[in-house]
Amino acid sequence: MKKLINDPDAAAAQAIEGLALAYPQYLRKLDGLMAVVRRDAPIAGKVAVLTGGGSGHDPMFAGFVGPGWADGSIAGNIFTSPPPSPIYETAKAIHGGAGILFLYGNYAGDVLNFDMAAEMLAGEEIRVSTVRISDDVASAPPERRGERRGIAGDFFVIKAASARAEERATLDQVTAAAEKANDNTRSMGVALTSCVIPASGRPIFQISESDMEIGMGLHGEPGVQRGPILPAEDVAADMMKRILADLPVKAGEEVAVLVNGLGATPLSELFIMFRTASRCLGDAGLSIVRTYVGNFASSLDMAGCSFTIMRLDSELKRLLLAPAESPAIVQTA
Amino acid sequence: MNASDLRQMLAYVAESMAREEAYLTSLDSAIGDGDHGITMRLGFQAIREKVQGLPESAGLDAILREAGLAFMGATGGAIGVLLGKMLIAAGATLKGKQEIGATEFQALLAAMETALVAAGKAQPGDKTLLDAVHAANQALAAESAQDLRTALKVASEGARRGAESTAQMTARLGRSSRLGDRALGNPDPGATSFYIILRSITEFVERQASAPD
Repeated sequence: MKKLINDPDAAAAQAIEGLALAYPQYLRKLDGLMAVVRRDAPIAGKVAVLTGGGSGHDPMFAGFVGPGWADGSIAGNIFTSPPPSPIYETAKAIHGGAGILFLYGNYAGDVLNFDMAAEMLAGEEIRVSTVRISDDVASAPPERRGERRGIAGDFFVIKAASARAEERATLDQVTAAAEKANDNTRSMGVALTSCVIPASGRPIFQISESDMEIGMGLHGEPGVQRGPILPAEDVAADMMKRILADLPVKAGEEVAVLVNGLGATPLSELFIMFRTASRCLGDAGLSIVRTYVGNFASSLDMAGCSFTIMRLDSELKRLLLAPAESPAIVQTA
Repeated sequence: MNASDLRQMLAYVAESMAREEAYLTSLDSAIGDGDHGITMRLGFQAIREKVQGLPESAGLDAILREAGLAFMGATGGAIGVLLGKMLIAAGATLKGKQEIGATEFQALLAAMETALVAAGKAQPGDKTLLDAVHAANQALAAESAQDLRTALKVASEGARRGAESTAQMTARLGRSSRLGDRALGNPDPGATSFYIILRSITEFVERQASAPD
């Protein structure tokens, strides 16, 4: 597999370095850490939002740092959560005295490492609350929703929580906004090919040239159904059906949509997928307030995409539409 | 095993881990995201570097504690916190000791299991690292090993059986739990790594014993 890298073991760190060099108007890198923080961090009196997780999902998480977005983001190696001490150091660098919200996808490694960093911060009387994002419908049945993993739904949850923090809400209020966003967000993905981790140089799983897998995770975790690849219309309709069966949403309500590319799928295919998603939502009587199409939470060079739907109430709508700037996306009023 | 042996032993395990990288990665690709071998190599590389830099006066307890912190700091992931805490707990049992014999080894292996259960919330049979650790402790408890070499052989053999038994288990925790029965037939990479650690410690001690003075 051909890759534009230098040292495979340094790929994650060098990607962060490049990001920080490219976007000094929004963020800066912390010395010695695979972390970026808002250029103006720490902001006195504002709840700080810290995101993070394994690398390989660009622009998630480091690309969503900036005004109206997270205050900081800490990365681990490819597909591996960061250790406790870098999480702790990054948290300290963004703490403005009003507490910190940890926001990350619900994976065992992230939970262990972020919890340990939270313990370290508690020892210094810094208040930390945690919301683990769990939007992936394919990863566990509804009755075990707490076990679900987080995929592209990170985007909506981070946006809502960060916007609430920007309004100078308290830690409890920011946490509540993140929980509400997570409770109202569902995703479903489809993978067409494996990705290749730089350090091993090989695909992380095998899938035949003619197959696709519905529900596959962002690290190649097997999904709910593997079979011959179908036309985009059928794939998109299947994915939307699974999301709408899970999301407690009624005709007449408003939603936001994210069509997320996994890294190797052209934008044109994402738009083709959105055509059908849009029709399915219309058929369900839902009105789309805002659509996002692009690579938001990728899986290195995996081909495929995911749909994420967030059900909106007036608060989530306000938080979603609030102006915000970051390397990955600039949203004006 | 004194402090100087312990340092050499950790470097020896680091070499074994680097050799096993591809194998561990292939196991992890079957049921996880394929990075376990890389993680173990990087973690033990960090241990080796950290331990080399420690002052001569560092005791057994300090060496294992620093090894645990280095592993945790270098790897991330669940294994970073879990194995890191286990090494720190193992170090704590050696406070004031100059030598690791069979008795000390049994105590530190038991402490590692206690630390793992507290942090990881797993139970035997969940298809995790614990299955190898628990089996090693059980094997050791069942035999009264008189010397470290025997104790290591018994524990290593127990860990091997424990790791192999995970192939027939369905995971309840961690990333592979999300595969359900599809992970059947594949041993847990973490459990396999723990067996490889004990196996290479055993090799190290046997080589030392057979080497001319």
